[in-house]
Amino acid sequence: MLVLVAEDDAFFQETIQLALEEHGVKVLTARHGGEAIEVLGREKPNLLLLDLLMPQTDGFAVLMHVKEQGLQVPVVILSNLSDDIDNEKCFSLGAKDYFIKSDMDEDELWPKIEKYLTPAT
Amino acid sequence: MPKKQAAKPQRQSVEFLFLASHGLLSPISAIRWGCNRLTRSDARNLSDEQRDLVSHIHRNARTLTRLFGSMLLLARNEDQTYTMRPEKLELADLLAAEKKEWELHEHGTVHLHCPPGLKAHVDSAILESVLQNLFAVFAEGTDESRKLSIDAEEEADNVRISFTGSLELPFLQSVRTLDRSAETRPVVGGTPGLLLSLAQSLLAFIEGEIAMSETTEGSYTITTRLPKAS
Repeated sequence: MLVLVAEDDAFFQETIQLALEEHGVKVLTARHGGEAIEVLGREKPNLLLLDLLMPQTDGFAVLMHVKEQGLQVPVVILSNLSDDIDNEKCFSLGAKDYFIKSDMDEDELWPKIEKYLTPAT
Repeated sequence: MPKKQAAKPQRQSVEFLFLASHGLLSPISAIRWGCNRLTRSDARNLSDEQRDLVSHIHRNARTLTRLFGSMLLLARNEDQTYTMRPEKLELADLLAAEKKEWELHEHGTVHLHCPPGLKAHVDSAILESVLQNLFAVFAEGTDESRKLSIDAEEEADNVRISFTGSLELPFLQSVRTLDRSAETRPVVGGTPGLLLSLAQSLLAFIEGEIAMSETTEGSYTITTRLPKAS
C-alpha cells in the first residue's frame, strides 16, 4: 500500500510517516499542494492524506485537481481547520473523511484511516 | 460615532482570539503527537523518570489542545461564523465517553450516575467542549489519582449535571470585574480558572449556566444546567 502525505509541517509529516510505516505502508511526502499534484501525476497512491493550510497551493486546490482529473484516489483531510464551511467544502469536493489533528493523538491515526486504504485502480 | 469606535477593538479582540487559538493549535498538537509517540511502549526505550516526564507533558499538551479548541469555538461564536445546530443529546453517552477518556489518561476514577434517556437540547460541539473543560478542571494541579463524582438529573425545564471532587484552586483575591466597576471579587485563577471561564462563556451560547460551591474543605461541586430536550 502506498500513501501520499501532503503536509507542510515537517514534524507532522515525519510523525505521520513513521506511524504509517509501522503498519507496513510505503509513504510518499509532499510539502505543499503543488508538490502533491506533481506526485499524483506520476504515482498512484492508495490514499492521499491531505492538510489544508499549505503554502503556494493549498489542500482545497489539490482536492479540486483530484476531482477535475477524475483521479481514483480516496482523500482524507487531516487539518486543524474546524469551520463547518471548510468541512462542507471538502466533502463537496469528494473528500472521504475529515479529521482535526488537535482532537486526536498520533496512535489514533491508523484506526481512523485504515478503512480507506483500498487497492489503487 | 462613539459606538463605531467601540466596536472596532471588540472586533480586533475576536480576530486576535481566533488567530491566536488557531495558530497555537498546530504547535501544541505537534507536542501532543510527539509525546504520544514517545510514550508508546514500542517506540522508545525510556527510563521510568523519562516516561513520567513525557506523560506529564503529553497530558498538559492534551489539555491545551482542548483549551485552544474551546477558545476557537468561542471566537467563532462571537464572530457569528459558527452555525449552531441544537439537537437532542443523550447525556449518559456523552458523560460515559468523557469518563472513559479521563480514566484512560490516569487522572483517577469517576463515579457516574446518569439515568438513561436523560437528554439535553443543545449544540453537540459546544456541549462536548464544555464537558471536556469541566472534566479537565478536576484533573488540574496534581499528578495524584483523584475521585470525581458526577450526578445528572432532570429538573422542570433543565437537566442538571453536578461534578464533585477535590480541587486545588488558585484564587485571585483582587481581580476587578470585567465591567471595570470599583467592585472586586475573588475569582479562580490559573488553568482551572481559564477552563471554568471558557465553560461559562460557551454555556451562555446554549442557554446553559454554571455555579460552583465548596462542599467540604478542598472539595467543590460545579453544577451546570442545560435546556432539557422535550
